[in-house]
Amino acid sequence: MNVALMNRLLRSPADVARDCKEDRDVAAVAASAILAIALGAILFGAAVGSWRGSAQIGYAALKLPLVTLGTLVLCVPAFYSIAAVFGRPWPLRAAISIMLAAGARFSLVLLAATPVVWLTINLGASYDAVKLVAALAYALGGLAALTLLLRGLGDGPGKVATVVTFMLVFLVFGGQMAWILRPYLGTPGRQDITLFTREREGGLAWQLLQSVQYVLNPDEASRARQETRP
Amino acid sequence: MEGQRLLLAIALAAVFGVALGLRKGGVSIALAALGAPAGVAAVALVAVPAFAIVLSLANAPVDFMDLTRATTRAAVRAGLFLAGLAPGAALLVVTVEDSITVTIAGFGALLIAGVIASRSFSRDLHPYLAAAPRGTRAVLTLAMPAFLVFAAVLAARVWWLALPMLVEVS
Repeated sequence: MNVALMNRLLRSPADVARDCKEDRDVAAVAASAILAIALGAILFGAAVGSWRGSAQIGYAALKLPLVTLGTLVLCVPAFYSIAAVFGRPWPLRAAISIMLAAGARFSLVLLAATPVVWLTINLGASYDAVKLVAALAYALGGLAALTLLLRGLGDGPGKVATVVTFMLVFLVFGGQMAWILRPYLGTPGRQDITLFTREREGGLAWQLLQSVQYVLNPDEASRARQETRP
Repeated sequence: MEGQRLLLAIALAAVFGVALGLRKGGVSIALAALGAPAGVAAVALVAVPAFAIVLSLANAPVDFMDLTRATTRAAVRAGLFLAGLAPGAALLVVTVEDSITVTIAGFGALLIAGVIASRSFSRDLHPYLAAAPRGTRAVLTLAMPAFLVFAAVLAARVWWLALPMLVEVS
């Protein structure tokens, strides 16, 4: 992994975005970005999986890079088409490299959040609290990636429309990708560890809302989980 | 040239239709591949000719080719947007548990595509309409929004009828 490039990604995203747009050294950007995405997601996944421990650490470490890279694969055509219809008809190479660079920035933030998540778990935080901390880390990572995308889009008409539309698409696709590969933390009240859950559990938005309610009212959480325990 | 562009728009929208059809699979894929471009085609072939008559009645300085060009450019933009969403839409319709999410996501994508097309169409025609005499401009100030509303309702109705997988509750 090119450490100098990672440093540039964090300190001067506008320069990296400009290089991507001008097709300058994009192969090196892409290779380092993929490596950074995988590394950040693996370590963050392992930290998240440590709430349950045992095989869940490996499962979550395996699945989170898939979620991040899978979401990028789904979002590249969307980003390419959204940028084009709002007045930025870039080559596909530029769109792909900008997305990968944004993904790398996102993963570097996850990497920074990994010790925080691990410490939260180590201090005995509840399932819902850990879920919210992980979601917060994801939101911060998303914000960092968005900064690079904004710089990449540059000034000009259609910038806000491009960003708003793409964010909407990214949240829906990324959320669903994460949802189908769950669980990452493990299922509360159940001791068995599974690679995937196939139970009907509503949806991602509903689950996050429920976690907020349970963090605010822990009695309700334990009551609900007592009722659903097999 | 413009005919080819419209065909390209239809083909791009059909890719999104294929993704929606994966919800049920089989014949549904082919039906949805026809259904998604049907809204685009309906606006281009039914609503725009009606608008051309209104423009002629108002003596607007827009000829048929200008209108056709604006229509096909708008259609291509909508089609390109929908095609870009197709891979993610395929994942969503295949994996999502409840049908209401499919309905919201599917119609949401079509709605945004409609907004993109409307924006492109009105921007392309704006220079011509701005150069029109004052009386004509006054008529067009009403006619343009009315056309866009009519086109949106027409496309929504066609999609509602042609994409049953988006309205079925399971």
